[in-house]
Amino acid sequence: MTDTQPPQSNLPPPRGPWTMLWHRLRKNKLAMSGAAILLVLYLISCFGGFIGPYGSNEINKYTVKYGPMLLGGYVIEKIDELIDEDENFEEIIRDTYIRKWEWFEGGVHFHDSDGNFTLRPHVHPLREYVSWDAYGETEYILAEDRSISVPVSFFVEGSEPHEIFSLCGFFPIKGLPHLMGIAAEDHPTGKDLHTGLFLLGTDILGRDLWTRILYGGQISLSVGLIGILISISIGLAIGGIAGYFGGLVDFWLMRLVELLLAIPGLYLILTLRYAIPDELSPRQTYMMIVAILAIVGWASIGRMIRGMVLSLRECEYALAARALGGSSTRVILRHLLPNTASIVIVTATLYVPYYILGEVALSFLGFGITEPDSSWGLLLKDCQGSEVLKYNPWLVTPGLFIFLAVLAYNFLGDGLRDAADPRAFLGVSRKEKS
Amino acid sequence: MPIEHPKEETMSLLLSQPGPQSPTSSGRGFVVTLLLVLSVLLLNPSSLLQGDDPPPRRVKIRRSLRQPEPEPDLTIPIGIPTPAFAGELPADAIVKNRTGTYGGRLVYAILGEVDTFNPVEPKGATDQEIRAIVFSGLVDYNNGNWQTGPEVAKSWDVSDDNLTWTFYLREGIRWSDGEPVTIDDALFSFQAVFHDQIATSIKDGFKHPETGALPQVSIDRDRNALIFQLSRVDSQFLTHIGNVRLIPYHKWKDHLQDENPTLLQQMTSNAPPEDLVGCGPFVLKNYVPGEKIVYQRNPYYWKKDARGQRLPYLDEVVILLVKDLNLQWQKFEAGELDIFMELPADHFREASAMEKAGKADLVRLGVSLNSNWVCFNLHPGKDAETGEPFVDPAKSYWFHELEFRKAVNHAIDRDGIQRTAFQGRATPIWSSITPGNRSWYHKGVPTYPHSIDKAKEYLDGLGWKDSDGDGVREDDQGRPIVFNLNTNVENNLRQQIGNLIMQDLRKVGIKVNFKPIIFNDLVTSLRDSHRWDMILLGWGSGVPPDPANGKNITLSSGRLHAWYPQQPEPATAWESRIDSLMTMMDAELDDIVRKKYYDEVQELIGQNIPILYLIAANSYCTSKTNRLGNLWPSLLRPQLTWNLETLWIRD
Repeated sequence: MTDTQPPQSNLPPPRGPWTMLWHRLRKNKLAMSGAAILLVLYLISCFGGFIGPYGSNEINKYTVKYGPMLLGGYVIEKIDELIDEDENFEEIIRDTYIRKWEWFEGGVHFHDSDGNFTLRPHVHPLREYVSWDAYGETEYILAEDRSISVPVSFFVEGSEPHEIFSLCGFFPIKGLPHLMGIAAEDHPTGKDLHTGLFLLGTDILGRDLWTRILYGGQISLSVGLIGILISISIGLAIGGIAGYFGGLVDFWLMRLVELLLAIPGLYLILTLRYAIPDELSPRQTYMMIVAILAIVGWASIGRMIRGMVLSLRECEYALAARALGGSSTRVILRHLLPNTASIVIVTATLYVPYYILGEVALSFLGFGITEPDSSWGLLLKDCQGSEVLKYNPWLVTPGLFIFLAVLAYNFLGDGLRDAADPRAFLGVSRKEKS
Repeated sequence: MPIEHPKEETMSLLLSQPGPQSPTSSGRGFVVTLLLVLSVLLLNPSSLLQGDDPPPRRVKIRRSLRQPEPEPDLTIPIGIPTPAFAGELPADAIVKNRTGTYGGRLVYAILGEVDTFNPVEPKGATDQEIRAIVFSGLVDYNNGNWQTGPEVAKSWDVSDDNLTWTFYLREGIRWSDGEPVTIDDALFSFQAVFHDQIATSIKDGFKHPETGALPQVSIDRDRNALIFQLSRVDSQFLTHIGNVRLIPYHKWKDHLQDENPTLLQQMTSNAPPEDLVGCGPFVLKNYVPGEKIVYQRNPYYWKKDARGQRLPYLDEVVILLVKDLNLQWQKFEAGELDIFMELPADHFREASAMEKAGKADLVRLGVSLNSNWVCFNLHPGKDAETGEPFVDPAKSYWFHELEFRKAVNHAIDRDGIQRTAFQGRATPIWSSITPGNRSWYHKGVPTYPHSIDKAKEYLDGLGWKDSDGDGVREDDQGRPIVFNLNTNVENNLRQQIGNLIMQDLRKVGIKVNFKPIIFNDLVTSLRDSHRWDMILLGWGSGVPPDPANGKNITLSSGRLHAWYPQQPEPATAWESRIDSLMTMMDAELDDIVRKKYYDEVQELIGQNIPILYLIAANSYCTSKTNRLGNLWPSLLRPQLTWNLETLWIRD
């Protein structure tokens, strides 16, 4: 049997088209960094419940709108002493405070209460001050108590079972541990002391923003992925049928596509949203958003597939398949659509950002994910109004994650397109030969 | 009392300018991604890094938030009015104890859009608010001292049986086109409102609650008086009279036909400005739909100040129609607006920073009259079409249990809501009348202070315990206590409150699914479809803030009787008692007795808590620093511009 084997050759083994695509993609640094960012984003979202130090909706009335501990901390400063009178006309001194942000002072630091350097990160507990103004109105101000340092522990047990791992909220694996957090026994006792590990700050209800971002990523990142899967499927089916059969079928299907494309996207999304009843569970809301985005998004993909199939069906192999008596279904599924695969993958990658942004827009406007769930668009909803940007700029961090994800998808998509381009193919192979 | 409209939300994220500061890193911090730092920096944290601080000072806290009446200052210059006044000053002119300088224009913004300028049928809140600028009534409500005072009528008297009211007209005053205001004009204005075929909400106030009969109007030319013959005693009669704004007989006499009157087609939003003849302080100069309304001085206005100078002082009033609160605020910050009324909670810090920088005066008006509440659906009815009950029988069973409602009330942490959602600038309330309402606030309303133990005690007492250990209690028939809570998605503040309530109830073993929905859907389900479990909403207050204005809420037959609206007959003994108390209030003119009646109403609602009042925010207004003279801020809308005729611009 050994003599039937092909003779040994010095040439590298022939590569399939996918290997070549991967090979070329790997050389594109931008695309690879995009892929790496996406991988990290998806991983931390899937393990969000574990990585985040808190539960997804763990409200803390005492830690509202505190700044990101990674970047520094607030200190308090006394401004005024005000004279007040109690019922017996006795004077009471009330203090007016303001708090100041100190960059890279306090926050997450590496020394213990005695000031000794340690490798274990520490945080200061937050103390609540009541600040009075000259009209007798009070305000609660939260700032660090720099005299105490609380160690950050790893693999601490949370108070309630939460998901350790889940695929965008589906198939959750539940458990107690958090990657890091502050162990219950380390919480300093004392009135007005509120300890927490708020790496990226807290939101308007005192919830840890980092945790919320992780949970929000499960939704925001998967909406794009599932949405594009659905609309690609619809697009492939409609585009394949229209392109293969041509004639009247093609004519009417393409008019339908044009109809969908003619309606401005956001308005179509909002109209569809209004058509769906409000009595939905969070899971249903999620599916609804995916469905809406997919319904709006398949048209241009379908049109593109149709164009490709139209040209592919005249190729020799397609003609041969038909001549040999292959059924329409078989020709479309086995011969035509597989040949659109590379372009479909590229398009899909480039389209995912629109789905992510679509979810963000819907949730931001209040038509998508609503409290108490989390999504990046919903988190951005808190940033409406100029005051937040002035005084609580860290609440915009979810926007940064959206930015990252969209950018990464675009890099990856661009890289994929270049890699799948047959003209680029020649150039690369020539270079390889020389 | 209308349902408080949701504040319009912005749809755009507006980034502020990059700040000049750069971080001073001491190297002790955690290593973070460069992007993160840069982006936070770009978003201008300059306000986090406060500059020079003033040294500590010692001031006495001034707790009285009552706004003092402005005092006249005879030394300020008089100035020259443009356009100048016309006609003679009437002998009967009202004398306002104010002084001011002529000239200048006042610019402010309102949220709505003009439906019509016709004062006979104002359609929305905006129409109500702006008609007072051009049209005056016989009497007028003074937002500053919360009293009704004479306006076009110089005085009035009431017969002993409280059924005949006589209003004596001021003589020698003129319309803005120069014609004299006569008793015929006054009669004509009331005939217009009372006309069979003119449907206006103003008329409803005059109607007898059962027979629908309207008062008989007649005139006495010798005494120059308008006489009303009532079929019942009506404590709110003066308010209703003030609601009717006078329109000129000589101009519109042909438009009040017996059949199909064409009066409502006049003075619409596209009518020429000179058609709007009134006897208010200003006349319409120019209206650009969707953009602005410009008013100029009514040259024939008939009030004078402490120095005998005619009013108003302002040459022009410009109202910008801005549909978005955030945009309005930016215009105020940029100096385009002179005043900003009803400061939203999320702009307080900016306003307070402007105050400290000397750019604006922040007026603290105390606790607002608007309440936030949650309410259980106690509707026992069934859907006429499907035959299904509006409320799931299990939920209905829980909600009707008084002990359950008490438990919920104890479980809600109002202080937590105050601290979190309002940053301390709010007050917990236990009744629809907030402490801001000095005349009607009642201290004796039962309170249910936050206590998880008490809440648990009540639930345990009902035998509703968590038998399967999932953290949710089951009722005595084993059904887990789970229901929905809705609020309007447009209002961020309410979403926060709803979230907090959900969390509070979770702690006592009640599971609430919190679902913010669109405002219009919410009102539809509240008023018409009745398919809801628990709702979080708010009442806005009317002017005057008399509880009689809230009858559509308090009466069991009321359309906004939230927990069970439009009852065919009172469902419970206490609701029946409330109905009769409200009727007694209507027939009583003595406010002390009326308050006693309403105190009992508040106590009854407090004891039976079909509706759980939560919190009232503090109310603030801002104006440019020292820009306006004779400002007399009021809690009642329009907070700063209700005395437009005496405001003047300092320059």
